Amino acid sequence: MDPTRDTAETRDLRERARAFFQDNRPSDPGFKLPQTFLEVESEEQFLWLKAWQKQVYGAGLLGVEWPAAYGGKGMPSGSQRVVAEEMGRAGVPFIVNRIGLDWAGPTILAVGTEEQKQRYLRNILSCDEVWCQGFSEPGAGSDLASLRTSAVRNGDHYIVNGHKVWTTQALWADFMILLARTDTSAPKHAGISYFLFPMKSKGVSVRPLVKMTGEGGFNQVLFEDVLVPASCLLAGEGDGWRLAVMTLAFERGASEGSATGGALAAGGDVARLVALAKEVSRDGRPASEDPVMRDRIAELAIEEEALLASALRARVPGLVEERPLALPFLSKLVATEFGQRAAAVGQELEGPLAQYAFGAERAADGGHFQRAYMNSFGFTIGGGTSEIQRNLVGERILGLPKST
Amino acid sequence: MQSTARIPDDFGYGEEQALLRREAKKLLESSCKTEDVRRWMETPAGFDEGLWARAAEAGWLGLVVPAAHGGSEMSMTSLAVLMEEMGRVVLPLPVVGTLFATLVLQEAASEEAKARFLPRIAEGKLRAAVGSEERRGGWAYTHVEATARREGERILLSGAKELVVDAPSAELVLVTATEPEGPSLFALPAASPGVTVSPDKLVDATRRSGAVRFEDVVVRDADRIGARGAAVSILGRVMPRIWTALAAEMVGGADRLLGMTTEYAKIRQQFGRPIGAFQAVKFPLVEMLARIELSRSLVYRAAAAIDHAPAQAEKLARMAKAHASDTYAFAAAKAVQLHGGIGFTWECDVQLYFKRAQWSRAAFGDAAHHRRRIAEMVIDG
Repeated sequence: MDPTRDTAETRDLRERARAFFQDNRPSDPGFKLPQTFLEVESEEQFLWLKAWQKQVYGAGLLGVEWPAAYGGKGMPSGSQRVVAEEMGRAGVPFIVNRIGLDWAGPTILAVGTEEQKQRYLRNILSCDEVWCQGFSEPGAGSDLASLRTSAVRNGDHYIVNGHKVWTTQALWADFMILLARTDTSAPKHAGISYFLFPMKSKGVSVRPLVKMTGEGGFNQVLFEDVLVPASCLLAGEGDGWRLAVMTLAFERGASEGSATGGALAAGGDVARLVALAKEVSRDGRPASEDPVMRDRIAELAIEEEALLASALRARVPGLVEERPLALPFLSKLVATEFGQRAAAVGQELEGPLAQYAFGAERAADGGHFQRAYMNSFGFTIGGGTSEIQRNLVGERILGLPKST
Repeated sequence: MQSTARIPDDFGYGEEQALLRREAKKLLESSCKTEDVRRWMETPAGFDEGLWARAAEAGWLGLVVPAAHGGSEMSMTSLAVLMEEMGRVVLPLPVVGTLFATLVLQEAASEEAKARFLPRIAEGKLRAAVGSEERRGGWAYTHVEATARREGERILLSGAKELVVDAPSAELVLVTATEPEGPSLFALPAASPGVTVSPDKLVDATRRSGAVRFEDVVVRDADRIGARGAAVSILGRVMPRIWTALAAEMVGGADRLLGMTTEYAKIRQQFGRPIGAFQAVKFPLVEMLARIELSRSLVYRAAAAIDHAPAQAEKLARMAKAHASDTYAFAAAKAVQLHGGIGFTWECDVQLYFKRAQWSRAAFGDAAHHRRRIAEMVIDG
């Protein structure tokens, strides 16, 4: 959030981004916009957000770190974070094709064939093709490698059968990054393959699920004898687990190449809390004068600054010498838990007004923090729960023995 | 007004800092083992003159002293590196008091006073301390009840400073005392008639402090450091360095606790497996790691701001001290708990760090104290 951190290369980008978001702030669509890409529940919302992404990409502000050959700008790592910061600052809507940009895209960039890169990457940026992620299953959540969806080779095709859950944006997605078992006789991690799966194939059915907020956004996806070309396979048969780990690392924000900025680059929560604290009252005075509330806000301001400072420190080799991977491995955990605490404090600040639901006429800040708090669990659960993150950090970074 | 000064991408951390870290590790790990610390902390002085001399030889005592005055003129980032390494071994040397005085002198002393004191400090020939807090003011260095009363050419200082870190071994003490223009800083030889330094019994035996009392102690205008009434603004510029240095030291200590406890969790077997395999043990260790890494980021951010973007220095330094204070206290509590029975013993080295954490948290403003100031900056603008 701080222009004084910019390099010469990113300063120009920041200015362009700032100007663009200032001049092109979308007007109220006249219907409720979802808070994040996880809660897109109607086609109306989706189409509106798709048009917005197209506009942002058209302004040269998306995929800025991706190679020019695939529709990017070839800028240095950290550049997309600058755009993300300016988006947060301007308070404009989010980029809808997040799974394409931050999960599928970087994985395809890393291991895809030239043909696959040409075929998929540009359309991810322009939002002409939207992606979803088919990893979790009803019986394979934290223990992802026990997944049972199968892909059986049949000549030039695979036949897919199975069941995926928590599939964000599956209703509109054109493609899915799909993990399926291609070898049932191999050890559980070895028999998995990774597909760039066309969602419009025959035999695919999508059933929406409703979240605790009452919103939609994620789905179940069922596969019944779906025939897909063998060219949909990414890398080789049996490479699926390795690639899934890679995608999850991108998802954790481990990659500086991620299109919308790593999780550590989150920010802006504290500014919103401060604004809220000045707006709501307690004992007839602004809540921002309440010593306890001030302490809570200061605590979060420190944590927010620590997250930003960590995102920057992670790029200085000398300052991460002793544990080079600690910050990338911690980033999802610390950033999502920070967001959850910030949302909880937002409700605390509201005092009795925190009883109002999101969208209630008399709610403070439109009830933003009530919804944000509930939705924050989507982030501490999805993409590897906080508990799984702790296992991972304990084992991979601290070298502690496995818990299972 | 947005400051145009910016913090460099590399945080000002380069080969020089990497070299300093390697050298500091080498010297400290070989000559300051916990059995040494335990021996020295039982002595009246609390430290070893031989190690002090080696620290001087290594250039550490003059690390931030300008070259013109015999120092190495290194950056705040370098100082953070050194303090982090010192914290790792709970180094029991009176470095904090001398550093504090060095920074005050550099910030405000006349060229003549700098030339008199700084070269001797850099050589390890002069130890110093700063009395900036009083009993009733707590951490507020702005609260100065001590007085400086003029009588012709003479100035008579009277008052008492509390918990003056490293005062018992200091030959030079800088104190604040109020003149008509406001609080000023004065340099007092500890041996001046009328000055008494009573050593404190501290929670942390590896660190020393004292109550400094002065009753009609005679000084001259030349003994004033900086202008009349300038003490608060001088200290305001110096304190971010002290907060950052201490935060760096705390990060080093917390990191060592994490290392000790992680190793123990890998070795200690219960229920037929290393206790580190249990999530009840593993998760708090991960939490320690997370907090330490975040604290470390703030420390080096603050240090780089002090060097390159002074407008951001105070806020970041307070953040670093606040965060590191909580991190070290958390790490210390978890380290004792996770070591189990042995962690509660005198014999276990965790106690040395636990007590250093307690001291550090309470010195120069705890987390809540700094958060109060941070709230003013963040909320009131």
